Amino acid sequence: MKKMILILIVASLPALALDYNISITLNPKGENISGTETIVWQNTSDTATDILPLHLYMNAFSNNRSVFAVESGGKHRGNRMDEKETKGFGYCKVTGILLNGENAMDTFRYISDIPDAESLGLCWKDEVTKTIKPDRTIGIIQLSKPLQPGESVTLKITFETKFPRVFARTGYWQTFFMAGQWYPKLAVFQGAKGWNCHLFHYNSEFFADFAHYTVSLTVPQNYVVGATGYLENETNTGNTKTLTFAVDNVHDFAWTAWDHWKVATDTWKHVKLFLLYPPGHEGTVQRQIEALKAGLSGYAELCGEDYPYKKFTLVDPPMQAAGAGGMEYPMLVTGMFPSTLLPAGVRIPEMVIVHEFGHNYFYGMLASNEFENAWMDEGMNSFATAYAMERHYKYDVDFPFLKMDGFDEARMGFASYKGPDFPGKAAWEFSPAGGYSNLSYNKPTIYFRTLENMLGREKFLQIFHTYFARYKFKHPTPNDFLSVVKEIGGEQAEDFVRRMLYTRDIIDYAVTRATSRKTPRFLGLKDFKPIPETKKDKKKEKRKYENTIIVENRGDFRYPVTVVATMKDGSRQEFEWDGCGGWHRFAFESMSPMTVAIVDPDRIYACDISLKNNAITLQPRTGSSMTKLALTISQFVQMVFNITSLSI
Amino acid sequence: MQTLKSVLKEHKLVTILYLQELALFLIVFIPLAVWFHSQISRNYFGTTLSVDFLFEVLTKGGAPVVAALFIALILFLFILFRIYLMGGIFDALMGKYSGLPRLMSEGATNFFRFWLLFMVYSVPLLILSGIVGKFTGYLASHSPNQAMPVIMMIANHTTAILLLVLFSFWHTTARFKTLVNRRIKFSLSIQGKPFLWFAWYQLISVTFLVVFAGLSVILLTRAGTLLMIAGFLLMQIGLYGRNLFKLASYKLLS
Repeated sequence: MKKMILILIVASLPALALDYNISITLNPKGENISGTETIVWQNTSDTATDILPLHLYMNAFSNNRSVFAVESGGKHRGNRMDEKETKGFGYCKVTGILLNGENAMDTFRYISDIPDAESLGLCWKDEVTKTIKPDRTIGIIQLSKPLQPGESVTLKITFETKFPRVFARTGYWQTFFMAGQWYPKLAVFQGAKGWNCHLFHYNSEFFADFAHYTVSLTVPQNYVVGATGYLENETNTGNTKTLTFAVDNVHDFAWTAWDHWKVATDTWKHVKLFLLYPPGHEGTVQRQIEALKAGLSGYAELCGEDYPYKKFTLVDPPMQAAGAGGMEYPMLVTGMFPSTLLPAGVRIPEMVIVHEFGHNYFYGMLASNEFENAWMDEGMNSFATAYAMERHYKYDVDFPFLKMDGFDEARMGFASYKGPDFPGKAAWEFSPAGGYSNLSYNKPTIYFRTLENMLGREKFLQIFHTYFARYKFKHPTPNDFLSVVKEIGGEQAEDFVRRMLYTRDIIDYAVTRATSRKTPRFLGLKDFKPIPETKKDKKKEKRKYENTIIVENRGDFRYPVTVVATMKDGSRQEFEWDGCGGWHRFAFESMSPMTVAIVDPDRIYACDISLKNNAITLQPRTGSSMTKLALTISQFVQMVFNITSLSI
Repeated sequence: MQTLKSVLKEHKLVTILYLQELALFLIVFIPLAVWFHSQISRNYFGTTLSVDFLFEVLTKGGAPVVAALFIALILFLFILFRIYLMGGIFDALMGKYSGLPRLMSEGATNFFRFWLLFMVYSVPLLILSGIVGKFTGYLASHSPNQAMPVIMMIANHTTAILLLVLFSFWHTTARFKTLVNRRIKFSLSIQGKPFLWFAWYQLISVTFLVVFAGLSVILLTRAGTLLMIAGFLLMQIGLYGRNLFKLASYKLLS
């Protein structure tokens, strides 16, 4: 059965037009690698090309004027690129090129050395400014004659990569190495649209074609290596050893090497799991493996198919190299476990592991363009992370007094965003004042949860199953996803997702008034004379309550919503409103006074921007919790005072 | 034990010390409780309390900064007042408690000398703790073994507590000498029995505070109102007892 599944997977893969054969040697003392790379590329499009652009991402760290360095200000996820000490800088230097066996080094130029680089049409016009130079994250090889459709080219590149001190996902710390984006990588040729090859931006990630990789790593004998692909061969020579990894149908290759790595293994269905962790993290192994399995199960459910490769490596970098943590590569990701003292109720490491593993679906197999559509990997994957975490753990933060799931985190993050952007932008188009993370991660998370609530889980899962089945091992675009949403969810669902992506439209329902009062006794005249009130009347009369609720739709979507009134005796009245007309009044009578009027009580609209105005509570029920909260804080202040006044 | 009994006789001093702590509690508790209650009246969070409350209400605008500044200011003023109060309490411990007005007037007389002594002993303590912290931090950040930060943290905290005990003993001895001599008198001498008492009291205090920090979270957040009140009372009784031992350990020096 397993064999059959694998045969089916392989049969469903497109023929690969790209092949990397890389052979490098790690020099730990020089914090660098050097070696050769042979790229065989076939032009499978119907358009000829006369250039071959290479990504040289590591050059983002070669000076403080690269696009990445300027946009980031030398900071990434709280880590700093030490600009005072150039020893910690990194680079990828191409030292020789053979094109179909002939020397082509003379035709090679770094993008910032080409006077009219914009004319190559690689980058978008708004992407390059003349003030940001030199940036050498792209290198161009000029072909002597255009490569026609169907033709192949063989490039043999000799290169040297110096790792930066761990920064922005890659680098070294002491003898630890995390190698991501470490080799010259061919850009993606899109036929008539030309090459898709962007500069390395602070916010952006990567985009590459599926390929066959064979990578030979020569490292010191005592090093432990983890890498993308399957270990095919290991040979020992004196003080070094050479490990050869190979794999089909991935679009990147990453590896790590350290003489302190410890290895734990496990299995999930057909997948052999490897965890590389630093000494001292033995107590975290179980948590990390459990999280990885939670990810494998959760994503299989969401996407409808199991992770197809037979191996997966999770890297838990030492905290001194935390900058290498929380990053995805095919078949290998890095997690982050900040302290062995982290309580079990704080599932941040688990969340990071699930998220990074999940990128093997949303980035790895659904290889959308991360430069141009970050929401397609980060946004969908953040939703999927929250989904998988909820399925396995329920909460990301789980204490008796504080419970928080991924959707809570996303809603709180998104609600704080007040800027002008929306998710459907290229990474560098977001305002530098912030918004990229919030819009690429948080907004899609809660809007997809809303879509799930609106459509029902079954139909919603059908969307993701179809999207995955149709576009795995391809480069889906936003329209590909939207067409699947429309096909399965209908026009309203498609409109909802499209507006989420390309507008600032929000959902905000509010209860603006709720009153409950006893129906006044009828007062009037009979024959223009007052009706006398008898004692009997007074005794027998049991007056009802008149209740009024006014709800408003302060958002931009006109969707139906439920309004519920709860009475003091526990009875409920439920109303439906189509959400049109701006506002609506509900008036009704009850035997018991109304205590709460709430709109969208089941939180179908998980992306509602403000929960506070979703209800009016005439008799608060959470008073004792407030007292407890105030009491806890006050006692902590008392305790702090006691500690600071110990010696006074 | 005799010392403890003699302090027990002068329970008024312990009560004065405790009342200051109760006042601190009330000064923080009342505005916070009023603010929290006002934030749930007539809205969603009056019905359902979720983590969204923290974000949508408590951390909105400048509220966290204002609250933190308020609490920091209150703490600072209370520490100053504690130094002031101790001037009178030390005087009463050496002689006899003769009423609050006398205690307050002695507090005023001794305040600046006590303040100076506090600075003289706390600044080197902070510097030394900082050096220890830097050293243990260096070891923690350079070891591939990820257990090292935990080991170094324990080493750092243990050293800090031991330093605290040592410095606060010298500080307390100096306060007595200052009162006896009516001028600033530093101390580096250690007397065996009082020091042991003092060390014992400080270690118990620290343990109590740390344990209660965890316990109070469980009691105050997980349980119902009765346990919440029990937790509060336990804390207050503990603080009263702690003040009793504190003064008893001071009394040994007189």
